[in-house]
Amino acid sequence: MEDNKVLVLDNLSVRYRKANSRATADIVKRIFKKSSRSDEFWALRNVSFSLEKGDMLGVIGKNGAGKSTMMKAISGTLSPASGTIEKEGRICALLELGAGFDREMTVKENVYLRGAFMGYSKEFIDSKYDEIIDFADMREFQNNPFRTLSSGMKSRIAFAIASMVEPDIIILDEIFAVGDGDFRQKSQQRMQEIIASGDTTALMVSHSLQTVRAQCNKVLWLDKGRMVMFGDPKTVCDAYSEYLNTGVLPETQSLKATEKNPKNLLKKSRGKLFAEVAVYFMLLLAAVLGCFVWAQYDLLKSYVLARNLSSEQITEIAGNYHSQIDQLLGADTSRWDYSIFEEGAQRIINEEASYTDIAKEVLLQAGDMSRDQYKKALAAAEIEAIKHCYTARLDALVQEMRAEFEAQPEGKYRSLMVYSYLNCDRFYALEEDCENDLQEVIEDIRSMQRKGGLPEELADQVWNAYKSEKIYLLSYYCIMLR
Amino acid sequence: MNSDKTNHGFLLAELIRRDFIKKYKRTTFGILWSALSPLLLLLTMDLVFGTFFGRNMPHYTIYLFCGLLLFNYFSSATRSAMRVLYDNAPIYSKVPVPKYYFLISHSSAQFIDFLVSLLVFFIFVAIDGISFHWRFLYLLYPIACLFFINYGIGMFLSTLYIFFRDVNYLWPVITRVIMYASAIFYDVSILPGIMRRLLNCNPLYMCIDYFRQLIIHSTVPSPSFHLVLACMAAFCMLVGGFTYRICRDKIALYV
Repeated sequence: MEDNKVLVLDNLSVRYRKANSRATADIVKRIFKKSSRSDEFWALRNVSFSLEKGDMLGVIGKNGAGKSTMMKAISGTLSPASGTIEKEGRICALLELGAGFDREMTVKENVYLRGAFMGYSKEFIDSKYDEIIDFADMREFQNNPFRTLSSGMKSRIAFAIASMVEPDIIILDEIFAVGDGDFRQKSQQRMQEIIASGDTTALMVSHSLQTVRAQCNKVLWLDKGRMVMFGDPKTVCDAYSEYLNTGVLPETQSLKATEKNPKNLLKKSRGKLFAEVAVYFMLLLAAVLGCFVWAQYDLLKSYVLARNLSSEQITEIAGNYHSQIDQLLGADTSRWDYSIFEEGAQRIINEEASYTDIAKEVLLQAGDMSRDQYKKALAAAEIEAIKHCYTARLDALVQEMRAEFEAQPEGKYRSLMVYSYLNCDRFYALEEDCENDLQEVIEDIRSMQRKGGLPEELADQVWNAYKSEKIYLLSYYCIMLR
Repeated sequence: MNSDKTNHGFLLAELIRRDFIKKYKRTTFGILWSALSPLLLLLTMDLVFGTFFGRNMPHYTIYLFCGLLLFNYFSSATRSAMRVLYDNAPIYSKVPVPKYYFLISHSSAQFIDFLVSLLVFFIFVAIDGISFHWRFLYLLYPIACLFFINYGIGMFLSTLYIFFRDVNYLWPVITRVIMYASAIFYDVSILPGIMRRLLNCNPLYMCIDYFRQLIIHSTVPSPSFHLVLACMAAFCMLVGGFTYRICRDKIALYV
């Protein structure tokens, strides 16, 4: 910033949306029409000027010229659509006195709150509090809720707070229109004091040319958001009163320079915004991804675990846990979803899936498990599968197999299967009794294999199961062979 | 401009004070409501559901209270946060002040409110015969996460409310869905596996579950549980921050 310049406006433009345009409608329009220019309304276009320390600027113009909008933009409550505002020091904006206080809270609480909004410390407000209350002449009302005050009182307290320190830039938006005569005089006097100190730059909106001529050393004339003239009070005020009489705008340099849609000036700040948004977006994506991975984490883990196991390994694991089955059945398996066992068993019976597939599904259901738990789950799953076969088809099977056993000796191994269904959790007892039957079953299988009726791999598995006396394994091979 | 920044702590303190005072302004019981409202709700729900679910569950009252406590905090914080930016528009459109200050102060005031309820909760825990343990300090973690979740969602809703007032009607419905998806009064084991998996995608349920695991079963959840909770809190904060950042400059034009 240049020397002595306190406030520099460069091509400031502010854009409003027209009233009644709803956000939903806006978005729809923007999708289909690319832009919705008709809804835009430029309250300020390409306003540029600068003020030095101690300047007093008067802003004149008809209603709706953009005076208040400019003041809001300078104070920072509105962000410009394009252009820049450079300012130095503490800004004190008196826009619509009395607005922005909390109705329910007391005057005292509101003073502290407003002070805090203006960036003062608690100690500072403590020290200034009496001064403020006395200036506003409201000591007896200080504990009343704010809503009980009259509008004149509200502006008095607002002015008292705002003017308690000497700001670097003070913005006055037609504030002397309220309050009784006595207070108006008092506040104007206070204003004069602040301005007279020479350190404060003031911006003042006024419809009284007389006041402007008397107090300001620079004047800005706005018309429909455009800057008509900026200069010393005499020239501008004279031109303005002529305009008021004739209704013809003078053709000035700054009017010509005003663009219809001052859009191309935002590139720099827009790039910055996009970068910021992109960073946000990436973080957002990362978070979503993280959540997703976690939500499926159990599933992925057990899937990988199950997929890496060959059927031999599963068989081996199951075999190792032969002796643990009883114990496992006594264990707490309530957290597992039993329907999967039932369905799985059904599918094995219907030859829609192999035992290994079902075991995998059971594992997927069981979720987060250690390797040890996984083995146990596998063994228990096996037992459950067999058990559920038994409950589902028991009666029919028993009848069918019994009859078959009576009729044909070669159906013997099938009847064994029925026995194994029936007695799978009491299989040890059966083991000795069926030793001979089992041998016959194996012979049957081997002969089928020799005839080419059975996959070699399966026959080998059955044979191995038999040799290592894993009878419950045999029983499910029987299911598969049926 | 530097002098402006130095006193923002005081501004925040004043705002929090205001939000907290305003919440119970002109009520007879004042801050006691923070303790009373969850208690009354607990009493009703315990009477109604205690007979169904309480029979085969130890410490059912505490189980219920965990859910109610956190859900109440969540629903009241998000629901009132929705109006924050709208209600404070007269202030920030006149005084230049970062708008998110109102959101922070609102969240903090709600948080203080929650802490009062938490105190009551611990009294109940003591009455129910659960002994206190240093591990209870772990509870700070889900509480912090829930704070950020509420803050993020509040920021999101508040911004959205400026542009779409429909949120006002939509959010209570969503809150109701979240309530049923948080297993407040029923036992999760009555749900099928897939539903339980879905439940774990609900950050509020995770916080409730954390409380239950720690207080009733005195077990600390796994590190991955912590990580996910943090991820979800970060996610809510990001969604909120993202929405707020995009719309920040437009808010003043719509209010």
